[in-house]
Amino acid sequence: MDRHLLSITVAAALVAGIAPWTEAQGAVGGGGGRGAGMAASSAAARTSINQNIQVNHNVNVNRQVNIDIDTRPEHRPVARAAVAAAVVGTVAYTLPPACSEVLVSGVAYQNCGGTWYQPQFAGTQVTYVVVNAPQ
Amino acid sequence: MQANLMLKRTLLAAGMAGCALASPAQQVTPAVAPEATAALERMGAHLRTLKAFEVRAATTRDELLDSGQKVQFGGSVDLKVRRPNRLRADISSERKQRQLFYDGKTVTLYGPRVNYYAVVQAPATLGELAEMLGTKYGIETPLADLFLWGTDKARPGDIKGATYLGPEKVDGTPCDQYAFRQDGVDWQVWIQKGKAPLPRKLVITSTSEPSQLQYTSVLRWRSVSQLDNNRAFSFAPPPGARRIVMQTSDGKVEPVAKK
Repeated sequence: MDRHLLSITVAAALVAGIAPWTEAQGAVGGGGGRGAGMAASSAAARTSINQNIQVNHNVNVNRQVNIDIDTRPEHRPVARAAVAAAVVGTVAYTLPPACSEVLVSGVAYQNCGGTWYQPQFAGTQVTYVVVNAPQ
Repeated sequence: MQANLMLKRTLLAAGMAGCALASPAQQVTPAVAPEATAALERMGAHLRTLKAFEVRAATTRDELLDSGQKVQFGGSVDLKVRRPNRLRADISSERKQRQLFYDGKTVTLYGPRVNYYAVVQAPATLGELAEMLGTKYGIETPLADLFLWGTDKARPGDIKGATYLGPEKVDGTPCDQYAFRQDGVDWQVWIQKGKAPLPRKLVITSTSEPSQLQYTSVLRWRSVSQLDNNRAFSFAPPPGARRIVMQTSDGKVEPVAKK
């Protein structure tokens, strides 16, 4: 539980100021492929219930960070937070603009001006984690 | 002497009154009503006879905002299961879609809208799969109870309270409503009356935090004629889909193994 609480604190701090909620499909509004932002800033961290009785039923409440919305690089709004000199291990829910997708050993990375992000499923949520340049 | 007798009588009357009071208390439904646990066992036994099934669920899920306000989100789950080791789940809401494919060897998580997928090794059975996805990857297998009931993964021994609440229709179908209590969770199930005691509705209430978050699902059972072949359970990446990695619950990423 402590781990969950910690991750919430950290992630909420990261999320603050970065991401309005966005629909992934950029068709909304037709604004050059960037999704129309839907502000839900108060909901940066949420507690949600376990959906099963028999599985993990001693941990009935999952704490998870949400921006629980699909985003894909080409449809993202511009992140408002500075991304320069992002530290390896930093978790982002959106990418900075102008990234290029690179496949290394069959998995996707994003090169954003020299900073490498690795998209990952954290639970079922896609996050972008700053990594060292893939070999 | 007389006084003594009166005292005795008074005590006797008090004792009888006490008995009279105690008697209805003893008739109060016990904490675990055998008829309720028996109904659960019947349902589990029936579910176990289903070698394959498909169920579509309309779901609601409570979440607690940081402000302390409780809100509810809707969604749907389309679950296809073939015992012992095939599963396909399509989990949809307006905000997010995910698909799970379990072919007995690997499990794939796919996000159609983001067009990302991840593949990891999977254990040999459905029960182990649900366990692994939950503990190792923090992924809930939706409606896993449906294939765990009636197996040794179910935990009827944990039930601390069981009550029959009477008949109630779900989607127009006559059902019996039962309420159960376990550590940290109260839950209710509406079991279809008749020869096929299927669960038709589930309400899961967390009691481990004060806001008592709930998850509900109303279940519609489908015929399973198309589940004989393996197509529904195997994932073929659509054009433009990119493979990504899956974090383990500790936030780490395992090296990607070739599929």
